[in-house]
Amino acid sequence: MRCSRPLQPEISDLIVDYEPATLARRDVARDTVLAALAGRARSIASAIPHTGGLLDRRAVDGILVRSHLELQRLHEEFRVGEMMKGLLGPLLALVRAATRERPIRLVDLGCGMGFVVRWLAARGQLGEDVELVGADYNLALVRAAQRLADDERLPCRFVAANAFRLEQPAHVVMSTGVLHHFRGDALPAVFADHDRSGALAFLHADIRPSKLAPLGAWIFHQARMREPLARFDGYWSAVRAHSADDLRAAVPAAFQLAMLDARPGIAGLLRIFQVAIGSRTGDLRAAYAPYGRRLS
Amino acid sequence: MTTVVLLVTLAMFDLLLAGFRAVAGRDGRIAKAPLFRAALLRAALWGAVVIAANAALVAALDAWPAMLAAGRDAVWVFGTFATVTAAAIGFWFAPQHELRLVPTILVLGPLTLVRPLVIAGGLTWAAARSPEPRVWLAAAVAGASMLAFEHVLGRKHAGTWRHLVAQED
Repeated sequence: MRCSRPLQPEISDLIVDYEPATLARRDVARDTVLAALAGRARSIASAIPHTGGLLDRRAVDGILVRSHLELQRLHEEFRVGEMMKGLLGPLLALVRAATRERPIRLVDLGCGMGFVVRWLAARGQLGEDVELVGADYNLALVRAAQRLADDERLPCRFVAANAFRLEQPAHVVMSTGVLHHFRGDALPAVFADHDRSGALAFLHADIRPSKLAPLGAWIFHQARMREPLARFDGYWSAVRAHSADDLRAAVPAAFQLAMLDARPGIAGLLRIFQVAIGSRTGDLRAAYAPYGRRLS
Repeated sequence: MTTVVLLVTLAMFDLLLAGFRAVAGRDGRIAKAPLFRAALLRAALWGAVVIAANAALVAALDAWPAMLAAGRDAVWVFGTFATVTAAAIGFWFAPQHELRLVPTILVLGPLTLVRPLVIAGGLTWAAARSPEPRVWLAAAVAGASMLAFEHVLGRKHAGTWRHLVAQED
């Protein structure tokens, strides 16, 4: 199986750490972070407050919350909520036809501050039978997401948990801008988790790799973001985006797979995301037939 | 008179957009229309103050013909920039999803990035064509006030994120 090569890590992947079994947060040694980074990334990380050689958790949380607020702005500009709403419709129809269980649980893997879940709760109109859940390892982001949802009385909830080990498992797993964080063997492993968890379908949107994507990401993150970490990670997320072939190779045979906007070409210049859509049930390609040649 | 009206209009357009940017990316709520309306109103009020202060400086410097000539040059630069920006914003209301994204992807990001260079470059070019030092001074003050505006307005919102960060158990 061909997997993505290792690249410069994103700083946000290094400055928080969790106990794998319990997800309890672990201290992060500043020297460990700095040793993994070079150049500008090292300079950004070295500015994070620290005590006794350990990164200050509250300062790290502040950086991540500010970065996610700025990321939400980009998602608003690119109308990611609308995009996900449109794409989820056919998938939910397949799932409704395949199971009598209600509600249909739609879980956002690595939801961060839960913009997509909250947007869908506010404006998605996915149906009364759909339960919206955001899952992320980062308790600070999960709490911020829940607070924002409560402020606006949105019908969704957020949990600090592994999205594949929820008490009430997901029928559909989705994500936005998350897949590129899974490097090497972690990418097929996360899709194997989909299979093991019993999820009926998935929909993962991530940055569409192209020669222009890093330049576009650099321009946008310089123009729109204030937080140095967000600028750096935003650029590298475009560099680290998985190719469609890598994604295809990582998905277990139990799922039908369709890739949206993965074809190279001029039209693709206007599409910053490619989307991996998978389903165990129904005729996936027929469900997405209206997308025509955008599907591959 | 036309030059003055155009300059004031262009400055107010830019300051309104700066006011929008000052609050963008700081508030995590989904429904933000009231927030943006308030930000634009605030930008309009403070923008009027900035423009009035610059006008008062120009009047006090007492070099009207030279100021007007430099103003005409500046209108060409900023007028072109504003026209492209306004056209891109117009696409935001297009009926088709991807057509709405075009200005964001191809225009607004890069334009935001080069805005400081356009302001500094346009004013430098207009001032450099004038032999009058008082024009240089007016251009420098105008440039500084335009470039600082977003940052100053943004300070009010800079701590918005704090209520989202709770102490861990």
